[in-house]
Amino acid sequence: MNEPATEPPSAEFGAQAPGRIEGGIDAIVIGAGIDGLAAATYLGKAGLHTVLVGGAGLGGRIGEREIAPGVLGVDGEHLLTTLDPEVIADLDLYRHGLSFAARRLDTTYFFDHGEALKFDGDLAQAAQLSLEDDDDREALNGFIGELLELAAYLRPAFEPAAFTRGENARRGLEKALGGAPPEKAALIQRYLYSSATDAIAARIDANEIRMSLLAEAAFRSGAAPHEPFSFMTYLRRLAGEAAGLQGAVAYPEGGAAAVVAALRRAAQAANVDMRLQTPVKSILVEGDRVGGVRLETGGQLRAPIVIAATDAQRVFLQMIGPAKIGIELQRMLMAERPEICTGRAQLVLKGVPQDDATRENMKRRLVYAPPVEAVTTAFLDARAGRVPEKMIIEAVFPGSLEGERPFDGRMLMSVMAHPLPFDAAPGDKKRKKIKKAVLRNIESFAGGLTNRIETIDIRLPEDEAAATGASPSSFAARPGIIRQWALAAATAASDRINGFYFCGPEAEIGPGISCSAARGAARAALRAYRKGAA
Amino acid sequence: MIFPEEDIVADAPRPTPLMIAVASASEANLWTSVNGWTAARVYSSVSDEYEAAKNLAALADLGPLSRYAVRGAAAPEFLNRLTTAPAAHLTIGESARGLMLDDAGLVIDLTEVSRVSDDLFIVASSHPHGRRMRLAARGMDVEAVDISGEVAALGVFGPQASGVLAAAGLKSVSETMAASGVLRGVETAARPIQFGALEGVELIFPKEEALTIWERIMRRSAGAPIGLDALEILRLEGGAPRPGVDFVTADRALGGDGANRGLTPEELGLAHLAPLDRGWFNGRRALRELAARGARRLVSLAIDEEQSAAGAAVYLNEKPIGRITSWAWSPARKRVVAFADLDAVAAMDGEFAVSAPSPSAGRARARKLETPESLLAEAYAGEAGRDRAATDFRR
Amino acid sequence: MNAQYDFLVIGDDEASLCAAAAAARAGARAAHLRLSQRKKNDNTGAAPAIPNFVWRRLDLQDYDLTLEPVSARVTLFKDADPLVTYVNSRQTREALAEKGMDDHHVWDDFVREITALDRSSVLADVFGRATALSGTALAQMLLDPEALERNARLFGDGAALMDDWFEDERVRAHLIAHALAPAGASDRDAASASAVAEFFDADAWRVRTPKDSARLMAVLEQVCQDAGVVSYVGKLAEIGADGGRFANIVIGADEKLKVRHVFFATPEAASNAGALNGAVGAQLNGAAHACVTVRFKLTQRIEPPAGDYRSIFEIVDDANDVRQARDAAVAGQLYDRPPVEFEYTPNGEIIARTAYFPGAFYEDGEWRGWTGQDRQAAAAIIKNRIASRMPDFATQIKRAETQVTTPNAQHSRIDARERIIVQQRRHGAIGAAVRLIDEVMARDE
Repeated sequence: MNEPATEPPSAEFGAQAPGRIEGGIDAIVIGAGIDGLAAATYLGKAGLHTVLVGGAGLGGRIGEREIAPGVLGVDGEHLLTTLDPEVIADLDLYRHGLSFAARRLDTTYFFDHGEALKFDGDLAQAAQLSLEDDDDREALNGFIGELLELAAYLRPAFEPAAFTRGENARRGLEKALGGAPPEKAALIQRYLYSSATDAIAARIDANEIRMSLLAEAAFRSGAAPHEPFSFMTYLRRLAGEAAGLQGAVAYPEGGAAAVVAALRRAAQAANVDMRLQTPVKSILVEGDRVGGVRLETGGQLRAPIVIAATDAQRVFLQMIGPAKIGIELQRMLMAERPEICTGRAQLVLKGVPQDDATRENMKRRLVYAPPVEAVTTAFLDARAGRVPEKMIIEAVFPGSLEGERPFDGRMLMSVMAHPLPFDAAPGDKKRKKIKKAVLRNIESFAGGLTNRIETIDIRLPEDEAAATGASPSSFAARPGIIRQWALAAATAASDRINGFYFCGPEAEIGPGISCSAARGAARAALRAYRKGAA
Repeated sequence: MIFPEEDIVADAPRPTPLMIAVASASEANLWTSVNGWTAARVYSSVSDEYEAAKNLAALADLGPLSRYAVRGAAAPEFLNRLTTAPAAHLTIGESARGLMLDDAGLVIDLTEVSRVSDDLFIVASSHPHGRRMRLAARGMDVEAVDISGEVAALGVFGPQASGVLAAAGLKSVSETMAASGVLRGVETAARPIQFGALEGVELIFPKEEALTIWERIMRRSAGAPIGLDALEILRLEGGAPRPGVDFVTADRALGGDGANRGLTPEELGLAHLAPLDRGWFNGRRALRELAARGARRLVSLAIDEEQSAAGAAVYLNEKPIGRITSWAWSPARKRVVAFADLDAVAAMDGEFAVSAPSPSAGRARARKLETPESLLAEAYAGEAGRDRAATDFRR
Repeated sequence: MNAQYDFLVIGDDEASLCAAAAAARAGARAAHLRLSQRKKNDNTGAAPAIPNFVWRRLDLQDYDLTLEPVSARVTLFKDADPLVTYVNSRQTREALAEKGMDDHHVWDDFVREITALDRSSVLADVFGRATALSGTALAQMLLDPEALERNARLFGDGAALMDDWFEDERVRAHLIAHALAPAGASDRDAASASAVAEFFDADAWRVRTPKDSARLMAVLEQVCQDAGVVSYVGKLAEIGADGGRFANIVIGADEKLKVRHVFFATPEAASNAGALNGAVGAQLNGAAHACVTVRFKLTQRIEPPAGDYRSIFEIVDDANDVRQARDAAVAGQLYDRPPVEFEYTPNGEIIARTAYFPGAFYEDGEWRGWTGQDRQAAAAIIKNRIASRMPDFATQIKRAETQVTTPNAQHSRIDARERIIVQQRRHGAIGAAVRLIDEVMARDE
């Protein structure tokens, strides 16, 4: 179960002779991250001779790494919030080893002055909420209930598959949203424009609940919470829960790397020909059709179907080139200048705390929710390139979630910190500042913890880019919802090259591991293939 | 080279570089504004100007149209992307008509691309497109400069056009009348252009020399200036749709569906200017998906009447199927020539009825008009039909 | 029984009065609520433009008003020549060409496209209207890449819009300053591009009345009275649901009304009434700012550095300045170099205003309201900004009157959100408010 995903058998490395043109391939998938793996598995399962090519190791940014001697951490993501259940079912991921150690994680929100709020289990029944005031609980229940209802209508709009050409999900979107009664549609419209701060303030009086909800709404968002269109990010997070899916916030056995491992087994079972360390130089577009790819080594792979699962700027502006893509698509891609990112920190702590309260907390998802105005200021700072004073922190203890698994008496703490200023090449000085700020914020809700730190490992978009070969900007926080939708629609159209499909990060709505775009792209590709073969 | 619509709210328009010279030739003194530039509607009389264009040579101030000089190693590639004209295949001195399409495959404008030298092209369009030029040039080794107000542009049409060129001091180097030379120490270029499907030549020279060159031509040749009103008759006879009049260009459209959103080349009757079997151009792949749309169709009509009206209803078997978008009295055909925006299916028919300007006058008979443009479109449709069947992808 | 109305228009500005009068003249039962007592010489600053159709609708020719259109928009930079643009696009183009700015080539195109974009956007359409977006319409927009792209452009940031069009830093800063100053927004704010689009709305330029707003307010109050609008003055305490088609309004301690629609003619009016949050904050550029207006009486007229006495002037160092000012305001801090807008009154006074001050101050982890000291500091900042561009200015000041409008931090109690309508445009708000009233009335029928 826990074999490292980054070390595939050597047979998976395909040396390509320079200048060689290789045919007999049905489909090529570019990018060996989770989206590429998922897309390739879909095609392989359907019987297509599928070649997966990528410049980096399997799993892309999600991979296991030794944080300190003997301590394995998982890069990229530490929780699953949006994994597409259809992908799990379609690709038999449970059979290939995926299992959940924890689902619907309980959350504890920490505030300044040592206060905390426990939020247990199902959002829709927040009855066990540690709130003393009945009015507050009622207000929260009413609000969340309303949001969950709206999120159910909106769910298809957060599924990238809906934006894929010819995909059935389009009809699903029309049906779901079109079926919303007028008063619900009016509410959706209001929340669409709404800023997170206003939407929450309008319904919630209790300051602690406000801070908690704002932390959730602003976490990992590139749109500042006081600005219009920023509240939708929260509805997106609720959409999975609204659809009655389990594991809207879940921890898989083995962490996010387990998803990669399961996908890899599924891909192997589907006879996907995996060729890592085989960077693609360009995508061959011949007339209106895709012809295959040209490799950095000079060789060519020819196939009637190419799916690109790496960042859009690289795919459209470099691999295809501006001369062959739409002028507006080029404008949109060049206009994306991210300003905000999420930082990932993995801390190795000396000794495991023995008191019950702490051990109990370590089985939960811990969120530090700064005051509302501090969150706003943090976004302003990050956008101006400064490291914010306060930030939202999400922390989990993977060892505890998997059931008391310390490394020789040491604990691993996995942290996401948001917002941080996005910088393609931050430099040592800035990294130091970020590290200090992240530690300060961890300390503000888990006092004394920083004394136990043995190692701290901070990972920024620059590092993820270096590990995967994608552009750093593709690991930045996503912009406001309208721009996300526009980008998803524009890239999913893949500029209408026959046989070519895109499922990189720009095709997704919101952060996290989803694979929904890969599902949409692969299904559309299969339909086109069958139509062409018929 | 088709003039777009006249400006509705005419701020005092700018004089074109040629205008100082041309103004003195105007007897009618009837001016209007196009793209914010001054344009003459009539110089002497519409019929005289029309006759001159048919039998001698007509001189049109093309200053109100937009003109860009495109330079750089990637210029052919850039133009192939920006317009449907086969820029890369042009030899020096050649010109080609084309369309500008948006990403969705809808028509933004009509253009004409000429190759002046290996890496210098001139692009003319009905409307200005500064932003589009700038955006499309990003990431490519190319520079597009707006030269609209910098050069004088004189269009010459008619059987004696070459005489006008000679009078200007230019010897045409080929059948296409392309030429370049130095006239009194000034660089001057002539390039073949088409006014709709009507052949002609455009003389381009620095604005400082506008007056001298104009006078030379007027003194030594049979050319007479022609205004927008006479050009409109030639355009309708030629069968070229006018942006902003016969159709809403996609970049100025208000969104929504159908014709409000813009039209495809096919719907404009200009599919031959955006052939799908030629190399890549912006919007081509979307166009392929849209090819089946064809909900509307712009059609040239000949109406058995003395006059008509824009907006007049067109009927087929007593059912309204569309409206007249522009019209003019054709002295050659002795009837009204017009453009109509019709339902595509109904437009397949050949005979229609058009409501007359006054309700009491009933309806006039209208027939589809064969124009140079419609003949090109038909020839292309025949060819494309065969090709499409042959090259359809089957794996 | 409580008084019943179709519209309760709330707000102390011209747009609110126009909306109330228009509603009454169209046959609706209309009331107007002033949130604060009007002082005799209320110096809310320069009067906004009144579109021709509102002029006709309210028969303003019957009142004592004279017309004075805005001649030009002028930006006074720190180290560069002033930049002037005009309502007439050709004049602007020529002015830019004269300065050797290549951007004059795209000016016409820009104005045309940005106004078309404003009108073609599905969201913009719904945003300025009473009609709700149906689920089907929303789905159609989501499935139409071109519509999404247009919406993303219009509701994107102003900086990206400028990137598409202009190369010259001064042209960018000029447009950003003039378009965003009334909202106190920056070019990095989401949806700031839409404010640039609104700026080119013809209504924002059309007819201006005497620059003295107090005069216009008095006239419009008279217009309201003549039209039969019932006036109230007081604090909006509650918008309660009555379960039917009415909202129960409580003004002050005990004044109770029943109204079908609570109407705010500008986002500021909603914010000042403490009702914006209740309306789920469907605001585009935020209203967390205070607007500070200073009227300077001078010992003698001072020549404007560019343009003429009928121009609107904007003082800005560069686009970055606008961002810093905006960030400071959101964070509750006073910024010493905010963009400042000023105009001349017919008698040579200068009315200067800026919306880049915080609605409340955040100090030592606490929010606090404006104090007399803050007012003085703000007035001094505005004075210094003008003096930095017009050296004679500081010595010629005879008297300065400062007025601060802050958003209401105390939210009204709101249980009937669906009865609240907030008009969102800042440029051309009067025209937009009257059109919105028309639409609501048409819908009600």
